Amino acid sequence: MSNSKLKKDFPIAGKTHYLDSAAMALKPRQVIESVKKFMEESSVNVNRGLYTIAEKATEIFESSRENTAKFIGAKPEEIIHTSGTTMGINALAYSLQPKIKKGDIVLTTEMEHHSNLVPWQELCNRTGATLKIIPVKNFVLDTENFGAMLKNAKIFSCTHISNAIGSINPIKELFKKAKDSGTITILDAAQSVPHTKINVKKIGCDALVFSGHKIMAPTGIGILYVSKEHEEEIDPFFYGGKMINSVELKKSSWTSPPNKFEAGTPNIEGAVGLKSAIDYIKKTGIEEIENHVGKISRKIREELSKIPEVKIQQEENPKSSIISFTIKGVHPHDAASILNEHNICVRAGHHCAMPLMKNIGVIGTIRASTYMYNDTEDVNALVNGVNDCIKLFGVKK
Amino acid sequence: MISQQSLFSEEILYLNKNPNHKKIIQNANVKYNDENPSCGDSITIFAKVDKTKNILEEISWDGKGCAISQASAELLCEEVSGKKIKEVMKIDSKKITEILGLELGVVRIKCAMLPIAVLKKGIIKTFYNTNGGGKYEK
Repeated sequence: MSNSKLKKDFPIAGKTHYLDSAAMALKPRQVIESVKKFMEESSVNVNRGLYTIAEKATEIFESSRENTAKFIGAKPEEIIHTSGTTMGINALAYSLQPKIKKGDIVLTTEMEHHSNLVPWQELCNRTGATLKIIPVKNFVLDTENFGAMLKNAKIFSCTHISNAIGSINPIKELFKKAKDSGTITILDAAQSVPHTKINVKKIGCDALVFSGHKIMAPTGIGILYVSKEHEEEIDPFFYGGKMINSVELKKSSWTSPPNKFEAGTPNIEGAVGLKSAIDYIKKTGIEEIENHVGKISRKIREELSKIPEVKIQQEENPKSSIISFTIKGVHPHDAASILNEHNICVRAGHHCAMPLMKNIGVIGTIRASTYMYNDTEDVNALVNGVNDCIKLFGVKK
Repeated sequence: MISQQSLFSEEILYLNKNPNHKKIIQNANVKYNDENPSCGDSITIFAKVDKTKNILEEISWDGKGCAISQASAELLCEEVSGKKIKEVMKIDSKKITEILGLELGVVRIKCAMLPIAVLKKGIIKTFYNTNGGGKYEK
């Protein structure tokens, strides 16, 4: 993988030190062009028109579904288009509701983004089920009581990689135990799909969610994978056109998956961009991306660790693309603003993981996150910027 | 080197490190706390209001947060001390950025507005008996 050549594909990457890919990946020209081309040549509705352009649009849209299915080791009919990870999890929380009753357990972790916590809190409020939380200890899941927690657990929803502190969870092992207990397993793969080889069958998840915008697709497109076995038996979570088999004035029946979960006109341009983004990843090589991201992130941690005022807020020897840290005496928002003045884009705050921030004893952290277009220039800029934060605020450890 | 106009002027940095009004007024008749949920910054405002003259006689603050919110709290205290309540309630984001001498974006303006928002809510809740949102926790 030639990083300098590849960087030229990303119009924004050359203008700034972009270290916020965990929030949103930059778009390569290939993705931008694919969406533009579709809008210029085939931008009509799918699954309805009998004319040639409509058929072409439908073919393009469905080819994106097939592409995504291959990318994560699923079947096309198991791929449901959503607006993103948050919608995917909320959709599951509603669709699975008929299976949940008072006394059941819904299991998640202290490490989750709010989008994989609040929908389950609300499901429990609606049904009388109990929410149980796997605690975090020293930045990793404390799974000592995991076996006991699975008793009566109907759903276990867990993040693959923490968006806030970058911990990578032992998901295969946890999901195997959960499935052996008859628990439905849901993976929030928003932070892993961009640079980790994902195979839903090997992971052993019944459902998986991710967002297109974190893998270079436009915003407003996401994927909900539901295994065929569960997809057949769960109800749709919203209703309208495209998802019906027959409609009478007082009752209706649904078509087969995935269309029964895709009421209304989908985000066709988003799906086009997603196909192009996945093609870009495939062309570059997911293993190469993973290696590059791991190497550049490790370099950032090594360099920041040399600064006495910096505390890396992560597990020992982290391997993910996320570098979460605090600077003694500098509020994370002030640090992000100073870094912005150095043309460096990072995230600062609680990262939509308030319970996790409480657990690690901070109001927030500064989060740098890398992707395939980052290089040593970005590392050096960040280290210089952090040193200037310390200089400006005049703190010494 | 810093390439753009910095948010962190000498005055902002000085006020952040050397607050004069960061203290508790024991006999304050307005005591109110609120947070900025996007960053966890928390400010409590203490104020002594003369109800017959409708004048804010004395004001202080306590809390934790970024340099912008802390400097804003300091400068707010200087600005509103001795002012009529009617005038205090008119303070808006334009006035706050003017006091701070900064141009702030849509995210950082929330930091700067936290102290005045807390003061206004505290006044409304204390004297107009309506729920201004937030709560006093100390």
